[in-house]
Amino acid sequence: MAIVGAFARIESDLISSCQSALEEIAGVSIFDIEDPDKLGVLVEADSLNEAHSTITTTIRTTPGVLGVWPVYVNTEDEQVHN
Amino acid sequence: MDNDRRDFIKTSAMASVAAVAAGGSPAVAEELNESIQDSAVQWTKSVCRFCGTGCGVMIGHKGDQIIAMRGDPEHPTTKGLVCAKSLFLPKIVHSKDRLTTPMLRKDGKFVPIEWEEAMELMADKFAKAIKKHGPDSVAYYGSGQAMTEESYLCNRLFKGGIGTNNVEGNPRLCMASAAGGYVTTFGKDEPMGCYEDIWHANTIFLVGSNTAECHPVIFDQILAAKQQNRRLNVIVLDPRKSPAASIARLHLAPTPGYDLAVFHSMAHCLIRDRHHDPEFIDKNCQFKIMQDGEPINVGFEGYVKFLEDFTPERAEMQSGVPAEQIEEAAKLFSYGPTMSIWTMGLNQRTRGVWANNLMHNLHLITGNIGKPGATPFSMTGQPNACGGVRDTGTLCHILPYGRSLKKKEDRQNMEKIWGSKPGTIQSKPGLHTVEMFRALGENKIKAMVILTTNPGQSMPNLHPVRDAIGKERKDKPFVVCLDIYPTRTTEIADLVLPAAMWSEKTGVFGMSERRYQLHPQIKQPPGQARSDFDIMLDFAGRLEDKGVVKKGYTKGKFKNTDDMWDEIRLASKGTPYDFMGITRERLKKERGLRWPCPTEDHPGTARRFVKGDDPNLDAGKYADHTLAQGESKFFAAPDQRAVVWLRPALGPAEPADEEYPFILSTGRVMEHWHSGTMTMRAEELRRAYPHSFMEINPKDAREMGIRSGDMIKITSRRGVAKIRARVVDMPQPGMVFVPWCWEDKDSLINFVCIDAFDPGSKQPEFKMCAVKLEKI
Repeated sequence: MAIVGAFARIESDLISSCQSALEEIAGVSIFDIEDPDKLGVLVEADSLNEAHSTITTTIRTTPGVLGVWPVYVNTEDEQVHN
Repeated sequence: MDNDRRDFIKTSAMASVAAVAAGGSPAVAEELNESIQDSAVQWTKSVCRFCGTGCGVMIGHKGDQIIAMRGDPEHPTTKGLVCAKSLFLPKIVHSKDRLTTPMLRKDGKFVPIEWEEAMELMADKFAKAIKKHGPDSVAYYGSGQAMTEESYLCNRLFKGGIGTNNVEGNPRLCMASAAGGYVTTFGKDEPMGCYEDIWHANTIFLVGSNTAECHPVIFDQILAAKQQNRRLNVIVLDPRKSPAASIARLHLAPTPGYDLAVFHSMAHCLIRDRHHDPEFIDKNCQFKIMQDGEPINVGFEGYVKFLEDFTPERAEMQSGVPAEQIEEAAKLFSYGPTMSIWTMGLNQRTRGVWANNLMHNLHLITGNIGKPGATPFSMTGQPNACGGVRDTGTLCHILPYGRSLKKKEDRQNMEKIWGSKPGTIQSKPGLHTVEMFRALGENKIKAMVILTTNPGQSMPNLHPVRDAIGKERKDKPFVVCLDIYPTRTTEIADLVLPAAMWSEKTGVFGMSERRYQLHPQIKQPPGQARSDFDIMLDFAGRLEDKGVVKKGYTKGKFKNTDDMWDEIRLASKGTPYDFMGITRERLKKERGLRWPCPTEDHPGTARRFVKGDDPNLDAGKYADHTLAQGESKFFAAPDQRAVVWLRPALGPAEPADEEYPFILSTGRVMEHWHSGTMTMRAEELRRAYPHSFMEINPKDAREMGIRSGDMIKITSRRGVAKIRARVVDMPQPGMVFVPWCWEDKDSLINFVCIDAFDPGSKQPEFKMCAVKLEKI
């Protein structure tokens, strides 16, 4: 299990449509944050690999997303397996 | 993981994001710290170990295991933002193939040996070479990834102890031209501005910098500044349509290597349209051209006359950039404050120093310098190329903190600080990087230590370099390599010593905006690995025992990096770098400090050469009490005036021709860093880009019948690489682009790269060489 907290910087005019599109992605929850040009993104996935792939291939390519910056990652499970 | 724990982690993740989004406000950060109080995890402040941005991070650790990472929202400049690479550091640290035992090559195979045997053998090989062939028969090749204390110790040992200036490091491959540009224009190295300038600029000029992928946190700050300030214009100058170009109002795409004419032409337009600043020029600038090896003053009038040859139309003929785009770029540049940011595209050139000079010219003639939002600013690619190598003078031609080998007073000064035997430091520069490996190949260097870097992959024209390090031959030199993983260099070294990395040792990193930051030891290194500092300190002591270094030179003086930091501060005292005020205690408490910072109550310096900000203008030999607050004075330059250089607009060393019709340029991708030694250890990052690729323009691909995925043989006059094509409208027609992060021997692009170097900075031309392509 991997949990990644990230924010997505969004084109100002596309916040609402972008939020709807991101909410459709499996394992992704969107939450509001103070900055009107950003959306908070929480990714839950079976592995860190899957979470990373969701961010780089699905979220980053969503129209209106200027960039995604993960700022928190927890690898607790995987460290235990190591 | 149970549900409670999972919910707790989700809350922590969301709180971290909220804190970063709030721009690092202390109140939100405090709220975050309270909300994620976790008795199971201890959080420690540190700094990322990758690029030169110097992002503040918080490391979550449980016992000897690092289990979580987050950006540090209290960090004053990066405010909690980090990129994907940083978050995978726990995996990289805990990777199972870390080197854990000293290994000696015997009969072509590595065998594990004890530390005592390894250190004694290393010291013996060096001591014998020095006694038989003199101090210049040994060499050190270090890194912008070593801690400041490690680089300083090695510089101290080789220059002031052994007595050789054969001291180099991989910053020669990335930032030497930037350093050369600063020194020739302003008299001293390092940027004068800071990251805050991004938020004050009305124009940002990105030159030869794929900021979006190579410095993603800085790129986000540019995006954020752009969203806040709708008047902010971004100009990109890059032959390749890199991801950074996607946000540009104007993208100038010169023929690779022919952009010097563009800078001159922009200057021509700025002066023609009266966008220059005569008052600033009159007070702060001088104009020089090199004639017969001597700098000649030509005055402003001489400069204007020189620029007559660079009308936009003529510059278009030389550079391929349309004249109207040059006009537009000059106009946007004049909408100050203007900040220019550049990296390897400007530096990795045979004309790198000149390109840097011309960049500075634009700022000087418009007075776009020394004010919030107005500055030339080179970004560095490694976490400690600035603080660790450039500032400590750990290169073959300089001494610490702006001192020169050529000046007797500077040599004597360092000998006194180091406790060297008088006359030990030579005045003649040692061998620079390209020459050093050539000398190794010719057996002129008899013993060499390579620390925290991978020249067996990262050097240009790699075949002779790999032969120099590893080819069996009579009287083969002895090469010792200190590293954390097996690399393309350790595989051909004679002795491999396992090193500690990042969170396994305590030391200082100094990043692009002159901020020195402490990364503390959090866990023990794996197996028998030791910090590079401990290893080199041990080595230094043994050289004393063997009579090739003065007794007591190092032995007994330093127990750890804390002791060394005190001497380092002392070495900076009285120089324009003076950071006597950056004590270890302050570094432990604060999120780094920017030099100069001469006293313990000094807050550090945002902008150098500015009255009211740079303490050098308030006290000491450069003090000037006639200046108004906010006024600039380039006190370190000759006659205390920055030099506007008139440089010829020459092209690359190896232009495309009939036989080799394409220009190859190399670079990076976001997920991988440099030779991939670390990032390839994180499976997630490796899978993002498991193989190398060659970008080719659709027009060229069509003409050659190449499709994405086709295997292409890339051949230069030096070597071959086989890499799959990616047909994409990013490189311009006639150009191909290959990142250099993969160690697979077939696709190692550095076999192909040229080792021609800038005559001033000695930095090789990684950005341009001629190649031919063949579909196989």
